[in-house]
Amino acid sequence: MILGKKNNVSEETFKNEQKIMATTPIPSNNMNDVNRIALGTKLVGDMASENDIRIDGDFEGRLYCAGRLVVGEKAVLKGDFYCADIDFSGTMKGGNIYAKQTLSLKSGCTIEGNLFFQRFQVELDSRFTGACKVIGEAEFNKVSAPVSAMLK
Amino acid sequence: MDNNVNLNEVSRISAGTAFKGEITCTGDIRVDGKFDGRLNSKGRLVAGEKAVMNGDVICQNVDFSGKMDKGTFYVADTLSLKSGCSVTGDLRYKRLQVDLDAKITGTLSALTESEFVKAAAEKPVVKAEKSNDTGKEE
Repeated sequence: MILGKKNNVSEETFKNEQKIMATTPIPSNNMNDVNRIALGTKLVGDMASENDIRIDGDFEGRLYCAGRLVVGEKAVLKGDFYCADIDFSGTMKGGNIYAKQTLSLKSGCTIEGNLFFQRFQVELDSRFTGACKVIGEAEFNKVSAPVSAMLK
Repeated sequence: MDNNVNLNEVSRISAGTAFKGEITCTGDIRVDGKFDGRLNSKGRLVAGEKAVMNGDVICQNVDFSGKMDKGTFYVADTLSLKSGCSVTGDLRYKRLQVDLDAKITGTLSALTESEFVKAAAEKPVVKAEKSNDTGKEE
């Protein structure tokens, strides 16, 4: 029965909560789910991931990450990066960074390239050369589509 | 096998991740996701049960439990095919170990050191996509 019953409200709420719980991704705190590009490793090409990524090595190409991208101090990147959230402490040698939500530049990082984000945070002693622009989720989804399609 | 590997030095392509291109690494690497291209590692490759690989793998040691769709292994030392794995392609190795229930389709042959060096020095076929500064679609 969809109509009638007044106490349907609580039942519906319960069902909705269950639905939300079922569809909300569990934050990937599991070390095994985190992608890692260690120091001494170089990737050239395209990569797409549903999980978090940590880079301490070199990456050149295009990268899509539905989770958080953490770029370590010694990392060197080049190309286009599309991520939900980014903590950046490394070096960027040309390209674009698109953050669906927050882009955070940490102290000591060096960036040559363009930044697109919804929210932006810069620590003292970040070096940044390039342009920046606020973008919405729709635009993010549009520009990241060619790379995120790899997951399908 | 050395179990005292520092996990922070191991590169990892986790499940839910797809990679297309070339990986060069000095350390060990673990793959649980999709890999398409060329992997050149001076260490050990461990491919998990859910790994799906395609392309050339050039490694010192390999523990393979996943699926190789089409490709070539060049293994300088030991190639170990674990139970449940499925491999289609050419296997070149110094030493080979195969578990029961490993599915292999392709050729097996021993690899000399000079052949391995030659394979490792080969230029990769894949190239990085250009940055879309111009807004150009691939």
